[in-house]
Amino acid sequence: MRALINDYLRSPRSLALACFFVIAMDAAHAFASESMPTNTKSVAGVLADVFQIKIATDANSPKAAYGSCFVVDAAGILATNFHVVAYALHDPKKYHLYLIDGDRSIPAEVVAIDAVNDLALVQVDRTFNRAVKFAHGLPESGDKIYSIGWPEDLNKAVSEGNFNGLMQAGPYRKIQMSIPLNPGMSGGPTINDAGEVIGVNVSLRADSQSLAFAIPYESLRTLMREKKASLSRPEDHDDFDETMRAQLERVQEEIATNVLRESDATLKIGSWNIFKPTKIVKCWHSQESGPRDQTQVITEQCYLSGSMPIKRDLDAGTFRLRYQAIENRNLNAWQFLHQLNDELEDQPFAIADKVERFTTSLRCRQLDLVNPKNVGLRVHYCVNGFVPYAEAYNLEFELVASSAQRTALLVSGSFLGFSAHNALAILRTIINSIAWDHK
Amino acid sequence: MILVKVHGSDHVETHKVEVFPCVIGRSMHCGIRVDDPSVSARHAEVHQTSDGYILKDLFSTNGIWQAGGKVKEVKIGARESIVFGDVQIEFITADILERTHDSKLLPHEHSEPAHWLALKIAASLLIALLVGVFVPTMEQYLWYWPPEKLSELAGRAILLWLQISAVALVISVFCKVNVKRFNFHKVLLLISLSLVAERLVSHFMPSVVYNLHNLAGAKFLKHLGYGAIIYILLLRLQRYAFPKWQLRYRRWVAIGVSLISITIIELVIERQLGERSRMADLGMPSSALAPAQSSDDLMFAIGLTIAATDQERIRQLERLESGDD
Repeated sequence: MRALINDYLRSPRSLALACFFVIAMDAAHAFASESMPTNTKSVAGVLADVFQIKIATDANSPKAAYGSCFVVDAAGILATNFHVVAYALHDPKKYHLYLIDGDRSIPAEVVAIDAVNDLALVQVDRTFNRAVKFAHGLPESGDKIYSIGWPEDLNKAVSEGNFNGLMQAGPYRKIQMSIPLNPGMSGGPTINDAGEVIGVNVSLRADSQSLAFAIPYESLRTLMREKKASLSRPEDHDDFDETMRAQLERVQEEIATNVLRESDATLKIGSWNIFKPTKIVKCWHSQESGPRDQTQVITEQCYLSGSMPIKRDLDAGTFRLRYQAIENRNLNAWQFLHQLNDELEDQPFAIADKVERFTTSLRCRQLDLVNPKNVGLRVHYCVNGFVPYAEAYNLEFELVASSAQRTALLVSGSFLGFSAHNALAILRTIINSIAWDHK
Repeated sequence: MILVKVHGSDHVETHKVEVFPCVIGRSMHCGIRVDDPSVSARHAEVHQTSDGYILKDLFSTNGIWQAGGKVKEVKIGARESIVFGDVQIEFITADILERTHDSKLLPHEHSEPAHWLALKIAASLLIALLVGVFVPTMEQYLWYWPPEKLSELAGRAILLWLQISAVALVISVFCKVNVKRFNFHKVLLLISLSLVAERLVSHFMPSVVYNLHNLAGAKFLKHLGYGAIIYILLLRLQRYAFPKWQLRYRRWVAIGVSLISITIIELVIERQLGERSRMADLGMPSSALAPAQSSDDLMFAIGLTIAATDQERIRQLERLESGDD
């Protein structure tokens, strides 16, 4: 039973593409020239608009993180991913951004961010001959598209693949595409046959075969419009924190509203009924029985496929839930409960404890209660808060409901970067909905 | 008053008897305790009559013997030597004491050397400690009670007995204390009974298994069992620490101490201490101690935790700002 349960949250997660602390460059690898796409003319036109961006303590430091960016305004504005520039944003005294232009490193500055869509605009003190053109619509599914970027700090590369449609999960919209992206290509453009930008490379699903994602171009255009409308002076550090806070607040509010709107949606799992949001989450169902002690485990895992990156390994604005109905008629009631209790204590919490400068230390507690449907519950929960963003918390909980009939319901979940009000409202909905179905 | 000299295998114990009737036997309740397997629990009794003292056999297994013959009743003369099973016991009446002023005949203040007393007290404490170690082990066994197969149950029981016997053996070797005196069978029985009672109460309570109240009731039963164990051990300890106290007083003291122990276990350790330390970690007021009953209480508790998080957040922010300056 333990083996079945403990692979908790091994759910596929987007992996940031930024490549940190890149290894020494391998000069023998010059593969950009060997595989030019067939549609050379239009793609080659865009190639010149794509640059490499470097995050380091100074211009000559070999210890650096790299990403890609492309010119969106010839006056010196380039677009990239938020997660590429996050280090320089969070610690502006230590890390600086540089645009690599041939042999030169030109200092760059972040001028606008949209963390929800993982986008950032940077400005450099130089003008360009031209900027990229945006498409006037997304391609058809199956159409050929290309991603451009600087994989692994090697040569500029073009990857070819197909457009597979748009993915919408709550406030997060992404282009799904089958293109082999590599770390370092984050922030580069995704273009169609005509050489028009349809998106910004953002992530690759770990363990997949070139299943990659890009941010649709509309989000970038919106950010550019907002940037133009506001004053053109570069915002300072505190302003970015405030922008992030506001964006996080908006995004979690939208998610919570979506979830709570369908508050009477219930799922029957084993002999239990429980609230399950359906509209904005993706769910996986599995049923297994342990070989040794015949424990039947029905699992339903749901998560929102998208999150707002705060920094490397720290996300917010997302949630996940896991329900498990466990049954074992071969054990007696005490053996069953004993096992269950062990199970509950063994569950590792997924939230990182204290992330220096970002989150407070994790505070955990356990409570027993009876819900309105007269089901006895034991609840473990852990809470911590974001330091730079007021009113944003991580809440993680695990609860067990058990009946005398040797069936139990294990529920665990986490809300990342939610307001206390919203996290509690969703948790309350879940807890109050748990009912045991007497057959 | 008579003097009773018990000739043991390695030493002679002398008792002064002033209260009659006085029972002689192996049981701890006897006025004179003779620790020998050939002596019955209640072997014989000394009565005081108008014309002297009489020793009566209390239907013992091995009887009392005088001058090689088994007797039912003996009139104790000035100096009488009687055999109880394998033990020779000498009775000396006051007359002869007054005449001879034989100081050697009078009992010592302590019939045993002082370091023996210390050793025995240490042994009692050691046993109490070991029982404390055993209880969790046994709980572990009993979680799987009743086991799927009878043979498993038997195996576990044997294992448990072996463990207890081993400890008893170690104690008896090191402290030269007869292991029987520690009433291991009673301790084991009580632990088992109290644990089983806890399980049964929880088992037959209605469907809400994780309800606090049921568990508290069940735990109380278990603690009652622990109280009884403390009572037995204390009674034993007092016998060495305060040999002159009357049994009646020892009992009252033991009952009092075990009741206080139960109260401490129940109220302080189980209910308050665990919870309070957790609350203190969270920086919560102790007024939030009441157990959660409904989802509203849970929300309230999480709210408090979040408030504690906010305090830490502000502290961190202040530290960051002062660090930046």
